[in-house]
Amino acid sequence: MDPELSRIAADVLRPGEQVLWAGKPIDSNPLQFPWYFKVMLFGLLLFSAVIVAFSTNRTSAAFVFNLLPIVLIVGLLSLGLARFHSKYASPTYNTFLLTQHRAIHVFEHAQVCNVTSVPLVHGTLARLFRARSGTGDLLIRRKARWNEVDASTILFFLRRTAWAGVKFNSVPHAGYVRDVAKWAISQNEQSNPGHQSPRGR
Amino acid sequence: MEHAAVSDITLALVHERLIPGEQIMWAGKPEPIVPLPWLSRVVVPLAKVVVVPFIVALIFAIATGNFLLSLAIPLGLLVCAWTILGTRMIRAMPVAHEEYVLTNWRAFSHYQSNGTRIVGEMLLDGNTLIQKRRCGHGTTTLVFSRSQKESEPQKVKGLGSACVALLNLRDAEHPMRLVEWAVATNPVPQTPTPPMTTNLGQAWIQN
Repeated sequence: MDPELSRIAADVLRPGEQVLWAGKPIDSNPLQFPWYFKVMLFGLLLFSAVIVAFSTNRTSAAFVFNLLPIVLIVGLLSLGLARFHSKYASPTYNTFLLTQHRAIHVFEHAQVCNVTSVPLVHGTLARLFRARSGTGDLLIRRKARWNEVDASTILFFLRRTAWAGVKFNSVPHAGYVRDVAKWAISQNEQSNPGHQSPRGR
Repeated sequence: MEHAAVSDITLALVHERLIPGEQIMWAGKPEPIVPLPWLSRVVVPLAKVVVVPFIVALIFAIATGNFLLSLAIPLGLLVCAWTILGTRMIRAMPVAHEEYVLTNWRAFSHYQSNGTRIVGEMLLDGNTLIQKRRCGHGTTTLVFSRSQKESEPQKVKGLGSACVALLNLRDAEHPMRLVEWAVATNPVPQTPTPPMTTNLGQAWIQN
């Protein structure tokens, strides 16, 4: 294993915990616009086109002028989200690990360190968002129980996320990583059906 | 020292990380309810009322080709959305699930909810920037980040900054003084070093 990965794994893992997969994001495209940006843009384009088509005073200039503000505003919003994604898709600062019991995201910058972990047990879902050239975003999250509100809440405050899950951004071989996570979840379900979150960092 | 304010799990996690000579100086929890600023309490009901007329006006603006309205209405909608969602986000902040520990060397934050766990850890030395924000209702948030200049957090290559925050504290003066003392006392690393040999890395290796 890469020396840096080994150092991080040695620091984060509990005694006896084994690494199934460890890796860093592939920073091939630093600014990835969210998929819903394209959907929103296409939808607004279509909406505007339909209205122009039915209007009596149809000019291409009016069409462009109508759409421009929306594109600008949606674009600026998406740029902000893309920058946020980039922060957690940089291989310099981010490391992802899968163990038998946990999915772990380590963010290190200067002397600040944030370690997020999610137990791979019953109720944990692994969802692949995008798979392009083998890379993709993997969301591993806890399914909320009927009486849990915060488990389904995604929060962005003070430049960090606090949610009932962890996101592996731009990981290589994302499909394989998802399969490993699912395998670990199924193994833990079989070995300990009533297992709750393990203690650990 | 009184540490009963935080759970055994948090204390156990921190004790695992302690290096020789490092001692827990303070442990605490945030206030569980986040107060809304008075402005939000006034603006949110207004924003809820004007959202629907704004959507109608946007359709009208696109249909008639009114450039000024086409620009102004989406902006208005954004402000409304931000106002409504922003207050929900503040209300839903995970303060009820957070606990904080300060040692003479580091600041720790621990969030735990439904199995998800986030442990934040930061070195307190001369390069630590302390920012204090009033949250209303007598609560204060303390944000610690690496300083780039005197009052500017170090950027993660133009992607914001990394920090550890102590949210929504009822009595922030005591932890604030402790952090100021730690920042004044602890030595600053002389040269930029790779992660393997940073003070924090050394602390982990020693541990």
